[in-house]
Order: sequence, then C-alpha cells, then structure tokens
Amino acid sequence: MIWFGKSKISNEATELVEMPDGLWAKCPSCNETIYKKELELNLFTCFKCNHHFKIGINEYISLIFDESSFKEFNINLKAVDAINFIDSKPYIERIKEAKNKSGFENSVICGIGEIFSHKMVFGIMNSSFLEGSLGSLEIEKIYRSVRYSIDNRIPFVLLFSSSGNRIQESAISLMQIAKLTSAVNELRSEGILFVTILTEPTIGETAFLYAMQGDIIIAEPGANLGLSNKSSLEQKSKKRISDKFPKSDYYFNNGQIDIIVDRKQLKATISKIIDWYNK
Amino acid sequence: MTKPILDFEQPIVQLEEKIAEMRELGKAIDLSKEIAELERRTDNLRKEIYSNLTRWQRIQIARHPLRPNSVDYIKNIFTDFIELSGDRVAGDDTSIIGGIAKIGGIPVVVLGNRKTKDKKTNLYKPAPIPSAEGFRKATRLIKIAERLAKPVITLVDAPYNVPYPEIESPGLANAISNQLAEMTALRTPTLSVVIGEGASIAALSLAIADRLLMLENSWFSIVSPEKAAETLWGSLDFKEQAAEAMKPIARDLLDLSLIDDIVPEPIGGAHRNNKMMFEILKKKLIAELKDIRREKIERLLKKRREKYYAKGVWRE
Repeated sequence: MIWFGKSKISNEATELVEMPDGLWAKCPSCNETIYKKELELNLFTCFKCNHHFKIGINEYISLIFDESSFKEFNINLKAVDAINFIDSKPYIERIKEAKNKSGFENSVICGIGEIFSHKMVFGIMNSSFLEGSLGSLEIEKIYRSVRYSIDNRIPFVLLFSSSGNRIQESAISLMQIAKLTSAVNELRSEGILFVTILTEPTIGETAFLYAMQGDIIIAEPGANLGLSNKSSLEQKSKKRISDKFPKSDYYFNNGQIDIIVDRKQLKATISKIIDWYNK
Repeated sequence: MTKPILDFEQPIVQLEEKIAEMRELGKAIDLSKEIAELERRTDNLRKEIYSNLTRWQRIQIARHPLRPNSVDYIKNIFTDFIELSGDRVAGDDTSIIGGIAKIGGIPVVVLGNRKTKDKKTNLYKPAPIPSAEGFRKATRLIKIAERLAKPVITLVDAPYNVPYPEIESPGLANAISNQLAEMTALRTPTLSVVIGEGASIAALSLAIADRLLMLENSWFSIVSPEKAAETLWGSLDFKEQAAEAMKPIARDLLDLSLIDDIVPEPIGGAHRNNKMMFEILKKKLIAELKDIRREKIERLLKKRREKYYAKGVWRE
C-alpha cells in the first residue's frame, strides 16, 4: 500500500468522535461505541447502522486497487494564482495552509492502477483540501488523465468528494467546467467507459455536474449530493439544514443515479463493470 | 415613474437636467454660449467618471434595470423572430427565451436569459436560474440548429441566484449537464455574448461557444461578488473588495484570454443610448458570424475543444 503525503485516517475521517482512551469511537449516526481497529477492518462503516464514515484518498486507493498497483500521474503540477487574488488572505497563502493541514499538494490525485488485474485510470478528490474545490490545476490533472484514458483505451473512473467552488480562481474556474465537459465528450465519442463514484460530499455546481456526466453513476449510501452548496443554503435560511439535505437515496429514487453501493462492495462492483467493458 | 439613477451617474444627470432647462429657457433668450460651455463640462465629467469606474460600479451598470436585455436585442437587431417554446418533456420555462430569427439576413437560432418585469415598478428584475425545463428547452433549440445547419447565437444575462431550491428538482443537474455537453460538441457555429451578468453555471451553459464576446460593462465569474464576500470575507460588506479581487469584468477576462473580444458600449453604458448599443452589437455579431461560418465544421469543433483545453493556469 502506498501512502501519499502524511495523511492519516484521524486527519480525514473528521466525523469520528474519539473516546478519551483513543481506542474507541462513537458513531455519529447511531451513537454506537465502536472499537477503532474493528472499524478499520470494516472499511470505516458502522456495524450497527452501516453509517459510512468519511475516509480519505489513501483509504480509497487501498480499498479499491490491488496492492501497490496504483501509480500517480503528474505529481509535479503546482497551483498558480493568475489574478493575484487576496481576500482576508492571499490565495497562495490559503493553498499553503491547505497543504500543511491535509498533507496533500492539491485537491485531486490521478493515476493508473489495477483492480483485480484490470487496468483503470482513476481520479480522486480530497475534500480536506480547500473543501475539495476544483481549481484549474486540479482540472488539468483530470484532463490529462482523460487524455491518457483515450490514448491507451483504458476506462476512466472518477471518485468525488467536493463541496465548494474555487472562488479564488473566479472566471478561470468557471471555464474549467467547459474544459472538462469537452474532455468527457471526447472520452464518450471514443467509446471509453467513464464511471463516476459519488461519496460524501458531492455538492456544489462544479462537482455535481461532472458527477452527472458518468456513463454509470455510483453513489455511496448516505452521501450528501446536489448542486446546492449546503453552507450557502444554511446561510440563506439561517438554520442548520444538513439533516434534511437530499442524500444518495433521494437521487436514486428519482432516477438520477444508477446504483447505491455499500463501501464493502465497491471494489467488486467497479471491477465487474470494467470486466464487462473489457470483454 | 422615476428613472433609477446610479450614485456615480448623479452629477452627470444633474448637469444634463440643467442643460435641458437652459435649452427650454434658450427659446426666449440666447443662451447658446452658456449651453455650449455646460455641454463641454458635462462631456469632460462623463469622460472622467466613466474612464475611472471601479469594477463594482461596472457591475452596477451591468445590473441596471434600464439596460437593454435579451428581449430588447432580439426585437432590435434580429428580424423575423419566431419564439419556440417547451422542452417536450414537462413544460416551458419562460426564463429562457429562444427561437428562430435572422440577423443581417442570416438565419440563426437565438437564445437568451429572459428578465421579468416587476409589476409594481415596471422595471426589469434579474432573470431567475432556469429550471430543468429551461435547460432542456435550450438544448432542444440548439439541437434544432445543429440538425438544420443554422448557427446559434446566445445572449447571456444570468445573475447569481443563491442557489437552488432547498431540495432541487431531481432532473436539474442532468439537464444542465446535457446542455453543457451539447454546447461543447454542437456541430454548428456558435456565438455567445454576455450582455449583462454572467454568473456561474446558468451563464456558462449558454456561453460555451466558438466565439465568446462580452459587452464592455458586463461581468462573468463562478459566483457573484456578494457570494464571494460572504464566503471568503465572511460578510456582505466586502462585496466591493470582492468585485475588485475577482477581476470579473470584460477587460479582465480578455486580459486572461478567457474571452475572444469585447463589445464597446456607448459612453456611460448601454442604458444611456440603447439605439447606439443595438447598432454596435448588430454589426459585431454579423461580422463574427460571417467569420465563423467560413470554417469547416470539423475544424471549428477541433478549435473549440482546444480553446477550452488550453484554459487554466498551473506550473510544473
């Protein structure tokens, strides 16, 4: 298993309510006390209520890919501030802080790996880096992965965890939606499979619109999904509305996603789809 | 009805009123010298004020209730317009206006965001974010253009509406997503112009095109300055700073190579001289249209894709 950056589970599984002894934790959904080691073995899902804890890039890569098979693309791409954006802090300062906090260089990791020996190009977002918002650097990484998929005729799978717009890139970040949509169009017209996986959270215009472009759209149970940004809705209505925010089942019941997949079945499901495509 | 006047327009409007008064008086006594002097002062003041507008002030011009809107442009620079309605699935969303028309004799499909009139003030209100029906109607119309080999012109005027109903209609994201995909790959020449506000996805869904133009005082960004101020500064009070930091005005986007050209406005903004604005935009649209129609469609599509692939900044 490859670990990227210095991320550890405790850093990214933010909802985990730890007990003082450090060995036990509480499920935020059903309040069950869980032994942390066991939680890890259960792929961070609650035994009692099947609550899916938020996990990070490393956990997903190790649960999806065959051991040590994932290789990252374009690790040297770095963010640039083209408009010299400063709010209460300069944009570049915010990126530095996000790096230090998350242990990642930016909010997307892309690469290639094997899943039960099937090759798969994979992109994954990191909502602990500036809310998983997608700036032009992140979109360039995804774009290059799409190109790699097309050139080598390998399926492309994109896992979402994002809840904000990269406001600091203003119009540039809006144009990125056109860039990635063009790339996905090319992928489609070349007959390459594109699967999207929606995890907690996949909200906001940028992320949710990309997510809806998959040939096959998979969601984890209980994930917050949608175009609306939860925080802005809360701002608007001046109250917490997280609890009634539409989740995976709402979109499934209304015909917007194909399958809700339990995390324990995620690898098996993806590999079946890719096996079907490759045959 | 009193005309809405922006605060920085006030001194000019006062001088103009004074000139009008003197003209009235001038019918009895000769005031031509005084009037000429006052006109010279007004001209200078106009130049001074309008060449030093802040980005926030330009956004106020972009939102001006008397600024010509998509319906005005369709009426005044297109001919033979027939409005087409409905998404053929669930209904008709009138916040998108579209139909077949001609411009300079060239048959096109024209689409835009439609503002609604406030019944009390009789002034235009910003267009709401289109519903799934609106996006599907847009897609239906551009597909008609593609099938019948007619160019598409879109008039973008989408404010930032925060953001969607608390529980959005299930098919909305899919309808937007399809519209974006169709705009990127549409096999017919496309020409877009941001005529006022260009906020977020509602704007982009009509603005992916072979040529993207912006009127001089229009703006285009991922969110509104108000939303950026609330999110990043933590208070609406910082909207003017946000407008500066976001660099969302036509000039900024041209400097960043995000758009293809700027359409100049009459001094003071489009609302100060509608007729002149119609003439300028009509001429520009026809010239651009003639230009893109010359290209072979395969080449046009490749150029469109590559244009968007090149957008963005990073280093390695």
